[in-house]
Amino acid sequence: MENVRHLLLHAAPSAPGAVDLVARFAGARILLAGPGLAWAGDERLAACDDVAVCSQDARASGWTLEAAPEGVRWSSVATWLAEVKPEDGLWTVLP
Amino acid sequence: MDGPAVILVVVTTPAPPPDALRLVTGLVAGGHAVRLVEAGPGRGALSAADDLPEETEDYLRAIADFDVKPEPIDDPALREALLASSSLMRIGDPARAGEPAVLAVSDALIRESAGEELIQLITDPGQVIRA
Repeated sequence: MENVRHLLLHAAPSAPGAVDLVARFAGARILLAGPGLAWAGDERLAACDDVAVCSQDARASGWTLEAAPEGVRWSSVATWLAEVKPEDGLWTVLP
Repeated sequence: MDGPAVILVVVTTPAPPPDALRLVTGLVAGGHAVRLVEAGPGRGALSAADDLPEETEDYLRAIADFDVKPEPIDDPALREALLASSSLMRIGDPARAGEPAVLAVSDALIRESAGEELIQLITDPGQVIRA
């Protein structure tokens, strides 16, 4: 995958700037973690190449993979971050 | 930016949440070059605090094994750190102004901003990204 952009989406949609930033991320690889689980049903994520859900946060919230759109996978934060190439661009959306 | 890819983590809140440090720890453990700095309202939030949550202490110990430690820095050092970074993670104050909603921090913008202006540049926005 060339020119991959990585987005760590930890903030809920209500976080300042979160919606504006996520709208730029068609084609990105995204990890939903922490409050970012609130984005799981957001249709904008369908334009992304890869969406992962932090398994630890999902378990803590009672969220299940069956509730996710097709193609969403589990990951741990450490596993997902290990796949990141900073030179490709790591963008974070924090609360 | 020339040279190796460096992820700059800037703490701009006096109370960074443990969750944010978990993310930093994941990056460090993944083998990335990470620099953790404290600027403006975040100066001393990790490096000089004596009542951090136990979870935060655990993460700081973990990244210290990789020689990553929080550094309080001033404006000139922040400028150099930003210019040397390829990615930017700002751990901000939840009560920040949130204006602008998103700020793309380019080399030109960093060079054009002086003194306290540079701190405000990355403290106030809803989100900041390295451009």
